[in-house]
Amino acid sequence: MKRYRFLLLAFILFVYAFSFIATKRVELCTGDCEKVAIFRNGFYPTRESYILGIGRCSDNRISDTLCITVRDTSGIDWNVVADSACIYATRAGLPAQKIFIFRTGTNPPDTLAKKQCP
Amino acid sequence: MNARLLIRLLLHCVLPLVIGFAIYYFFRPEVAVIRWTGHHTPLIPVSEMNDWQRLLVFSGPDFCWSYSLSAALFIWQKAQDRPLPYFTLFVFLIILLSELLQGWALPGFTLDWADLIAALSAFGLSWMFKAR
Repeated sequence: MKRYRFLLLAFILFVYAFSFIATKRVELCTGDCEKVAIFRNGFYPTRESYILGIGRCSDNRISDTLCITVRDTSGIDWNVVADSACIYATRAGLPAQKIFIFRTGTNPPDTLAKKQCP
Repeated sequence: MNARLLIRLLLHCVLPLVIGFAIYYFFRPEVAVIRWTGHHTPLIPVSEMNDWQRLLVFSGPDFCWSYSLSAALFIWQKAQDRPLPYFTLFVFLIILLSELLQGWALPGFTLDWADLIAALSAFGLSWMFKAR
């Protein structure tokens, strides 16, 4: 009987933990945000060793620029990376984007490559 | 389950959760549990609220959840044959940690002093009712 009481206590804590987690804030990501997320999820995984961040360069809703922030890494052809970004962006429903690849650690940021996608 | 216990559960545990849920539903639909319902538009945007309304909308659910959890645990404790040592401290730490974790370790959550005070006040209120 005693064991069941502690099971009940565990159950109470579980229910409240669930209700706690269920109040996590979730930002809606639709339209352009969703397309940028698709681009990010497709482009980033095989490049996570040197890419630090991917997103819109500005928050306004008519932005056509994609900024890729990278770690200073030798032996990478950033123009090829920009070409690949264009392909992934077009696949994600973002044609004719301007791609900027920036290196971190400098002020102002050092532009390693920029490309106007077809 | 006797009627008195049922009323206590409804009044001290279920009702605060329902109030908290209603606040989220009508004013803060950006949280996951409301997203699941498909509801996305608040009755009044946060930008149009005054300070008291914001306090109610942002710290009210924390107060309700903390009160409800404390009450549930105190009701459970009361059903035990003998009092558990340090149980009140145990409940206090759960409430405190649930708030502090929001600021330190849980992405998608926020912590401010108003939330912390609301949660600890709820614990205190629940503890006062426990003694009755």
